[in-house]
Amino acid sequence: MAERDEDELERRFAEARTRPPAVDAAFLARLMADAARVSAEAGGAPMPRDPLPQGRAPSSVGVGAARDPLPQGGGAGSVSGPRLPSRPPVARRRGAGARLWAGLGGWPGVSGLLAATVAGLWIGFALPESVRGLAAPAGSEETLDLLAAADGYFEDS
Amino acid sequence: MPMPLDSLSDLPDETLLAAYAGGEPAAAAALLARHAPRLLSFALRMLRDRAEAEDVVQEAMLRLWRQAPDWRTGEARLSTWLYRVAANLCTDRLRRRRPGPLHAVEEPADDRPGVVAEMMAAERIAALEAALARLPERQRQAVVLRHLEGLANPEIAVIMDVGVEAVESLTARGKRALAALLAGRRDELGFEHG
Repeated sequence: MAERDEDELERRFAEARTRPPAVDAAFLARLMADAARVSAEAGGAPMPRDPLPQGRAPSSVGVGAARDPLPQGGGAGSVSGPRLPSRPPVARRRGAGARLWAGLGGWPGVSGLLAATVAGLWIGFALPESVRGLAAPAGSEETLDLLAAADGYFEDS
Repeated sequence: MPMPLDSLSDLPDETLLAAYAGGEPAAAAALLARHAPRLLSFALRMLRDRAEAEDVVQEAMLRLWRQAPDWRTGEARLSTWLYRVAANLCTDRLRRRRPGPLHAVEEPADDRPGVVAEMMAAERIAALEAALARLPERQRQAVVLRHLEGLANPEIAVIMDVGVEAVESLTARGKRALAALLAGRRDELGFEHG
């Protein structure tokens, strides 16, 4: 490929990388709801905190797992295989994270927080170019009247 | 300026996943903030259909939550695993979709009138994504992962279940095809000035 084409393509890639697709807050809320549901289905029992010993039989395998270099059930058609013997349920741990979670309002509160956080991150990292046109030119000053309809109440009589 | 990340967001993926599995679902929020946008970007560039791309990301994350209790540290990078699941799900959908017309180009999310340069940039990205959609699926996957998602060839090789040399070949062929597809629109899209 010609060097000119190579350079041009790289500029196009770079441009596209700076403008990733927007992430919808409602979509993030759905993802959070899934996480909550799976967590609830697990019964709230603490999962193993220690890594499983290497070489232990996989508990979930994908279709064609023999050639699957990822041993964690990453295939598209992966299905759950025989589960490892579950550990006896014990009382849910109330660590600092759990207290923080409760303090944030649980899933509903954190869903909103996450949506706002991700949106903020996304804008901060990825979209400065797209808001450049909104910035006022240097030296100019513009005001936004948020209560135009109420002006009459504040005029000197 | 990027927002400062809280201490939870600074933790490694595997620590967060273990925390989620251990009954601290706030960790899921940090994992989603880290991975969902990148997965969506990848799936959208593969499928060019937002609803389908969101379904793919949702399914990939769902599998991660279900896998969390049994996740074995050190066997696979979580991000690689997620990309692989998403890539396979995209492949399934693309195969089910054939034969059929190419999906329409998604309009830029922000259709606010802007300066001409801004509109031209959006046009250029749309043209790039339209050209990507015309590549054979494996070439598209390799090019998107390498040049738009910024992954290294060895990681792409794991995701695509091929060797590193095959990844290099796929990206090289994909880029040549892209250059040819975009060459005809160089002047129209102001490529020289991008």
